Amino acid sequence: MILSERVPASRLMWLLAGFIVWSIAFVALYSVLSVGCVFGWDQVHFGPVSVQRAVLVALLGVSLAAGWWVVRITAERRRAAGGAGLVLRPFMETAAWMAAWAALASTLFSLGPVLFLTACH
Amino acid sequence: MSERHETNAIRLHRELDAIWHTPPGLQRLAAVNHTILGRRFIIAAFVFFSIGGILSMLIRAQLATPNTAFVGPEVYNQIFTMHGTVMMFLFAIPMFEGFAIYLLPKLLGARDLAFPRLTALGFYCYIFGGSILIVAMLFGVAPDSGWFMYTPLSSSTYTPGINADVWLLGITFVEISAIAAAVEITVTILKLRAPGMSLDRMPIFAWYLLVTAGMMLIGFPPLILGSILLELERAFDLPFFDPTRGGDSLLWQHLFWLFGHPEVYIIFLPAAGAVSTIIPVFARRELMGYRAIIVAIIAVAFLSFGLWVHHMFTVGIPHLALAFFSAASALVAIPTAVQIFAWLATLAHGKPRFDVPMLYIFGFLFVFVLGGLTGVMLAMVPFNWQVHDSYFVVAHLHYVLVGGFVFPMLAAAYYWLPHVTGRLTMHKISVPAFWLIFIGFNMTFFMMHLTGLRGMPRRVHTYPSGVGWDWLNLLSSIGGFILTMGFALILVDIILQFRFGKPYRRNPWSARTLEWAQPNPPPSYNFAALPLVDRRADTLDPHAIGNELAAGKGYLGFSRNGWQETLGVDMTTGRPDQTIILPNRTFLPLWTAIAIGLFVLCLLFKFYWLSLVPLGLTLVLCLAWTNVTGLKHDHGELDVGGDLSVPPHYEADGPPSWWGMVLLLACNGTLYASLIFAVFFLWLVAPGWPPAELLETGLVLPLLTAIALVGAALLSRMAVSANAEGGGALPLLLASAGAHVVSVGLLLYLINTALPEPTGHAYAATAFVTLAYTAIHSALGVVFALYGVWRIMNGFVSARRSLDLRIGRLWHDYTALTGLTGIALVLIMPLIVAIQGGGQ
Repeated sequence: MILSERVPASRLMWLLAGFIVWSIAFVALYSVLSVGCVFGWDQVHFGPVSVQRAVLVALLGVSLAAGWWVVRITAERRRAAGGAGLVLRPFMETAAWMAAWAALASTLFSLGPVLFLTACH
Repeated sequence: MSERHETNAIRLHRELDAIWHTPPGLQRLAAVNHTILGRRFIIAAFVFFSIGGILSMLIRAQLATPNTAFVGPEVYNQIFTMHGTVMMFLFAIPMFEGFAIYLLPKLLGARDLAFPRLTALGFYCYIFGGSILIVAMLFGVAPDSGWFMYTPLSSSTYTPGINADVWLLGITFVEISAIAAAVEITVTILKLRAPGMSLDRMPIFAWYLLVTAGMMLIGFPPLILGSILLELERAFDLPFFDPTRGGDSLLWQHLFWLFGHPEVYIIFLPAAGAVSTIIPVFARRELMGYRAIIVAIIAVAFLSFGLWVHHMFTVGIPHLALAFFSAASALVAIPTAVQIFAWLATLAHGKPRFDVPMLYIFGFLFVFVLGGLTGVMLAMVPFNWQVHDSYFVVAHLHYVLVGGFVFPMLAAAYYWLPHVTGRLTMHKISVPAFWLIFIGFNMTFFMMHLTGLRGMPRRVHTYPSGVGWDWLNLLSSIGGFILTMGFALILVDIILQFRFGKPYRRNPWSARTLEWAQPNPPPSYNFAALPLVDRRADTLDPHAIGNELAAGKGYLGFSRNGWQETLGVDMTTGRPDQTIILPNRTFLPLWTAIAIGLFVLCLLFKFYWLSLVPLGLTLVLCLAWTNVTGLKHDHGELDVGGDLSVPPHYEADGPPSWWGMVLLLACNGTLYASLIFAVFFLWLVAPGWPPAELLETGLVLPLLTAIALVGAALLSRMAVSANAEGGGALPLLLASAGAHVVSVGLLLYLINTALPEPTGHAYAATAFVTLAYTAIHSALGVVFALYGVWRIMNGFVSARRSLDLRIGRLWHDYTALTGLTGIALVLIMPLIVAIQGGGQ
């Protein structure tokens, strides 16, 4: 029987890892924004920056760092798997790496507005 | 045990058919075969599509000219509500389910789906739930609050009759079928593939269906929760959506669109899967960008859950939040475009030949791209505000849904119909039918962009003359009737194909996927032997494979013990790791669906105490399903051919039913997470907070409940370990059941004594639901534990055969986890409410 090399089922989760980070970031920022607006965090300032903005930007930073971490891990695994051909292990690792990049870009694009838009208007 | 390896093709066919076939007469109602049920799903969906189509004709007749008195506003409300409801819930989703149920095992090289009886149950729930809606319409009490049932319009104050209940209960009934299909599809793709079909060799259609099914498991629960909460409000006055008592109608919108927007992609992705399968066949080359497409559909799946608020841009959400959802809404166009460019590249690099399916692919590309572009327009907040609730949105959604689902599904119908009928398509009618549909569709819906931009609102039963909408509406209506003529011609065409189409033996399109390796129409057992897949499964030679398999050369090319056998494989590599013994035909799914139907009808007609009878009956019937499952002695490794031996699935580590329970609990967990979201949303946003009365539970009772729940889970785990070591599980399971009894008692006591009146405020209502959720799960924990006891006593459990206990363990763990979360929430909420005095 011509079978693919063994690849643990947990590798399937790495296909989703980048976008799981995106989902958590999205929910976290939307929730914190809502909580902050209710509690008036946008009215409390640390120098030129409101507490609301500081918390949201910090969360965005953590999200991007987490997304970048997934990119790094998947990139290393892709290198270790060798090549990008349609053999199971390189296939899975490369797809996971591509998905991680797509998710990182999505995080920046969809949540980036915390850097410049009014928070609670 | 007798094992016979018979390679005589005809003899093998007879032996397998004797095991797998469904006899005529009343036995047809006991069918669990995926080919039969897939066909039934498709036919039923087509019937509902016809009903929805007739309703759309009534809408267009009403709106053809201004000031029409064809129907009044009350009837018109029912018509447009039912049109949307039927098309979304009774046509689109079930049609894709039907295609998946029919095709999936054939594409994957399996003999059936993972849970044949669940397929049958899903079918009957779909038919009965859909029938409730249609019968209600015939009696003039159909839902009339729009297909998204916004509160407070759908609340009992403004819709006091049973119209809204029909929707809430009927659609939830139908959703049982959707959840069943999602579990079925996911487990089948992950576990029931042909040997050697690793994930990188899977046909692209299977990837699309896998992602879609995963989306259904996460996407449907928010709506199911919303429906339960709204029905609880309507039936028992629990004020989840009532702003005068701490509820908020926006909660419904969030729960609905948390489901509703992913739903669009749940409909689109399977259709795109069909396109990705058909285009390479007619382009005569492999699909380009196979891996990029997989990444793209994963991206679409996730991003589609971050768009729901674009349906709510006008409700008064902070601009920054609007920006999140606007950006995500625009972003989803990119992975969608990746797929479109991959299809175009496949065509550009191939040697395309034209046939009827390709006509519809062309129609799909034209219409769907236009719909996608207006989608990007609507993602932009300022434009969205301008055209919100106007006919522009109606035009957009029809371009996306008809373009993204109906055109590809018609391509798929023409492509796979020969597989069903064993006859070739007759082209004389199909080409003019396409042009009627294409021209009629664009004439109908393109005009709606213009009426929308000219300010015509949705859902109006008539309009005044002279405001610039007259001729556009008339053209829309004429287009609508042309469109209907096209669909009527397709129906005639299909009937003609069944009656007069030229018979053929195998693979009329020179396709390269496994389903064409079967004789057509397909036999009851699909494949006489299961193939070894050693390359990508859309680059195979069905002719050569088909002859080999028909002769029994492959895996499981024999019959054994009268078992319905198919192979289970490792999820990633496709390495066989178990032989799955599927249950044979039975009336139990029908009886169970009837019992659920009676329960739904009792709720609909407000016989709440009486509803406990069919509910109990449903539980008993579900337990009766286990009568024919399981083995009474260990079998060890079984020969499956090709010098390979694997254990029966009852003795394997990760059998389908274990994975089925994992997925069902994931779905259930999403529902619970939606409930927690509802609690926090109301606290933050709803008016009328803080409530006058808070929960006063103290610490002792919640702590004891938590100990009982965790204890039940630990005892169950100990029972599984004891069983693995050779015995002693029985008393541990009895103790686990006892712990659950204690927790149910404590929860009921808490609900009765510590909870403020649930009808007084949304806070108390959500606390009630949170505690009741855990109580119900714990009560079912008693059933699971006692079921384990019963299975041990009847010899179905051994150290090797521990599946029943392991499935129970999953339930107990889940109950403990959600129970602890619920108890923590109930304890924390009074503190949080004290900190912040309610919504803004």
